[in-house]
Amino acid sequence: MKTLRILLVDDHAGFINAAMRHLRKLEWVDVVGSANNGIQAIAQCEALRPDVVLMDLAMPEMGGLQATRLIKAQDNPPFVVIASHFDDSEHREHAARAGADAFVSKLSYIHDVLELLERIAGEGAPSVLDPAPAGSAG
Amino acid sequence: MSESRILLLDQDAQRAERVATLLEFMDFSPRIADAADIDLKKARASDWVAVVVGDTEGDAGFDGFAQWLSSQSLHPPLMVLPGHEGADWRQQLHPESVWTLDYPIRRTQLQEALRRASLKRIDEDERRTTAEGDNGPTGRSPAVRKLTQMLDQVAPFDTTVLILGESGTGKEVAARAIHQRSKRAGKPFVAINCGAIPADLLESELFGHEKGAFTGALTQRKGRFEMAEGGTLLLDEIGDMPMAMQVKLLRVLQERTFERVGGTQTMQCDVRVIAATHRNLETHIAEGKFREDLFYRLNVFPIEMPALRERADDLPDLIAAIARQLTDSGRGSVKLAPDAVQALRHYAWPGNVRELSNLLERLSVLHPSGQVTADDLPARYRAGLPDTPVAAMPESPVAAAAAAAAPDPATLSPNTTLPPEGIDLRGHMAEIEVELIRAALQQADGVVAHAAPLLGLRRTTLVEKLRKYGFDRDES
Repeated sequence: MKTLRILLVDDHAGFINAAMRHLRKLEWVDVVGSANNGIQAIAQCEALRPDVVLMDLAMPEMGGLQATRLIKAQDNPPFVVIASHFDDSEHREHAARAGADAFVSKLSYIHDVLELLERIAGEGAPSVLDPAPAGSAG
Repeated sequence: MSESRILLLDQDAQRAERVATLLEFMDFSPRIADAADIDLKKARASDWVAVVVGDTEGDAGFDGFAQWLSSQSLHPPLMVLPGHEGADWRQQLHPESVWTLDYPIRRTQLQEALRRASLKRIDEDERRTTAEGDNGPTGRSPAVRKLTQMLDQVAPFDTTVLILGESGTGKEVAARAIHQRSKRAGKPFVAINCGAIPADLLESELFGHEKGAFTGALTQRKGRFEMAEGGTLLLDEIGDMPMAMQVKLLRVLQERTFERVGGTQTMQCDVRVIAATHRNLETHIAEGKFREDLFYRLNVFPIEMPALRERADDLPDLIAAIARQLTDSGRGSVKLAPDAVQALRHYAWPGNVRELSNLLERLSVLHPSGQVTADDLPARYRAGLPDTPVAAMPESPVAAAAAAAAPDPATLSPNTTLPPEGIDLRGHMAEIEVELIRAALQQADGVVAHAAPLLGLRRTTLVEKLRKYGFDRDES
């Protein structure tokens, strides 16, 4: 399993700390940094070049959707996961439009994120928004 | 975009604390304040996703605050706790942006109000980001002039329109322009991306559902057809609509009636439908993924959106328009040096206008003041510059390789001259595409994720093309 370099983005310090505690237990995960709004996230992605960004949807200054769009404009952009308190088709639709590769509900955050990270680490970087996630041609 | 801050105006301190705790738990950032303490000269209505209004008696600043809000073109909704029925300040604000909350707080009501506020905010932000707004496409190139002419031609009639074109070419901008120039302009414009919604939810999204229609249908809900009543509905990515839904859509188009999921009552609808897709629907029909009868229903007036690389002359106009929009919406400013614009003219723009818009917005964040030169551009945008010496090429090997492999169609295919008997353009383009994909896969040792950037494609797009052209593991 390859090591995944992860950037955590959330405006609540408590949330970042909790996520950090869970992710630290995994030896194939390396949390390379954190940011508490979208603007910082863009700069951090440019500087740290993470493999995966776990991005909060709602944040002050710049939220997760706008940040995702702008991060996806960089060279070899990371895999971006939007985490939202609201999980409905409209929020998912907006995340997909912004260019996010995956969407998780904050209500089942750790469970969904771990499942996703395991898959990414195992297969390269399949988009879970693919109709049929394919490692077939890779 | 997707703001988390909520302003909480309540002189009842105990209640304010209680509501704040609840909001924090729901992933928002509440700020308890007196309206009098808000500096209206510095504040922006977009600083909050919602304003919760409790007891404002004795808050000297509240009336002024309400007045200020009403003067803002897009302001967050006010979620009003009991006690303001018939209050004077309510007259200043549009009733659609004043929502009521019960107290004691009901979790489901608050949750739903916040969900709506979140979507309202995202929608408004997305509108602001659409570089071209409702004014239609920007530019003076022949391709844009022809496009504008077609939009004007079809707008006044209720004709179904099919908008085709690559991702990011502004299909929604075109659809909005049609709506704005039609007699439906005063009615809602509703868009839905059929590809982004799970197949099993699409029907209820389009047609709504009755309470209890399926697990999770706790309340009755309107679908997008109902929301668009009297106006225009854009069915984006129609090529991704499952076959089962295509039948239902066909019926609505033919009979102008539908039923909510779980409902028995037949509803009439008066909605102009515009469909859009980046896919080739004829190929989809041949593959059995799209209904031919639906295609003919939709294909009454097809409009092909030009790719940005086919109208590079519009770049300066587009850059100016997007920069103006960024400044106007307070999202920063960006100024490009001539060498940067020159570099961008040589780029192939696989993501079209949307990609340009994202790039400029990114530059305005990373270079908030000062001029952006070609060197400040991400590597792939510099790769096409013909006079850049290879030694000065960017550190990224992928981008450098992309430059080396930059396709000059003339060298890749001997048939770029039109034979007297003509050619099958689609088939011909497909062959060129297959050749380039094969070359990229070879260069990337068959790793799709590495081949995609060589072609300026997203990995998912390449995977899709591989599937479309029937590449299998051995070949790649």
